[in-house]
Amino acid sequence: MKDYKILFTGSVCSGKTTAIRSLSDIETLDTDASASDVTVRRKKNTTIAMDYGVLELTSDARVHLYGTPGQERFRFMWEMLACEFAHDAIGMVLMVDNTRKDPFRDIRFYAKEFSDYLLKRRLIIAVTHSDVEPSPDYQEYLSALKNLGIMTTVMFIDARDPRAVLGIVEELISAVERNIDWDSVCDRLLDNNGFTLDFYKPLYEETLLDAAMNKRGVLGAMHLGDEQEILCSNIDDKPTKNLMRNIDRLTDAISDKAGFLGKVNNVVLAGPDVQTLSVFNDKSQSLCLCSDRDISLPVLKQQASDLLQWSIENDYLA
Amino acid sequence: MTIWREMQDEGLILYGCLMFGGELKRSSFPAEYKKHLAVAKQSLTYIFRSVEKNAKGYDEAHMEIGDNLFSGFRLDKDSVVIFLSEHDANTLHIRQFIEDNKKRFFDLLNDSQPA
Repeated sequence: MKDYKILFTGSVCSGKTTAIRSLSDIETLDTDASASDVTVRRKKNTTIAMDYGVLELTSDARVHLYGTPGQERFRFMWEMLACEFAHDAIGMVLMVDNTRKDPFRDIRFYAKEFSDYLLKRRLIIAVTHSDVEPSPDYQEYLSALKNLGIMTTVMFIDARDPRAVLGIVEELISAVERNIDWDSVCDRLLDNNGFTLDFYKPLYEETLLDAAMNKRGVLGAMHLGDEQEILCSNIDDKPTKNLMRNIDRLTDAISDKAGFLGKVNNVVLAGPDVQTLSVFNDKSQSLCLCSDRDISLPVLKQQASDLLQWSIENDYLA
Repeated sequence: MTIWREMQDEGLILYGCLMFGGELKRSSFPAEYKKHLAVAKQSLTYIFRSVEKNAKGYDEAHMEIGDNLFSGFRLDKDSVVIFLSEHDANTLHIRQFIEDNKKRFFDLLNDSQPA
């Protein structure tokens, strides 16, 4: 029996668990738990350890499908999967949710996180949710990837559709395993796993503040509206609140008056013995965070971006 | 080699300037980046003023605008060094460079040559 392995990774809600379910001939091993943070805005459960499934290709070839948890706080599992369970995988599939504020940022992030892993295997970028948000389109992905120096295959898929996800497996396996009847594999999957449309059901239950406080290193948070009004806050210190509102006001002014530079994305204040203060802007809202000074800026930015993207203000995603 | 060029060569920054008492004293910003320099000066000066009024212990500010990162580091009460970098610049390395080269920045500030 020839055993191949494929590792699926990507941000929360990019469709990793769904893709593996669509493909697996066995009952998939899910390590889902009720989402206790911002993830709850997008789905009820989230993967906390890994997903696992098996796809039979022929009577003597099969593919083991591994999925990483999406949340950055479970990143220790990424390393465990890359170094142990899927260390000999034939390829990695990076699932990219097209509704994300900046899908290319996700690509940069995961390409960097798995840079060593990708030295020895193929990467396929599988773009999901393009039915909800068609932009960026295929051509934009190609040019962005070219600019990033990433030469890879991009596929737009619906993770619920076994036919689409099987196309990724075919892309990775067909070069090394030539005697597979892909059509019959596809028919079997459609018979067994079907094609359901119950994947994308956002549940808006939690405030942005609760979600922020669940992020690693976040000690306090304040949610501001477009006129710097406080929508909610658990920061008690008045001068700190004033400072953050002043900075938020400044960012609006700069975005207006220095439009040639683009929008102000964030402002971060730091010092050797103090908590880091940061203001993150998104459309007509801002998220202000007090955080542990040991949290790196890139991690802080990624967390804030996730939080703002899935906040109540962005319920157009529903 | 100037300190600006050294930081450029290390991939830390694009351009930099030194401010003392709110006035520009040294700059490596080219003429075509005049507007960038103006935004950097005004915004970071405003931020540090707001910090002075409301908080203590903050000597570093970063503002990401589009693909640009404007960073300000207080060298002392009156002196600030400001940089323009790529938005994903490694701020830890920039901070470390400043800590390792603080005296050189003060020397540059105290140099009587024109900016």
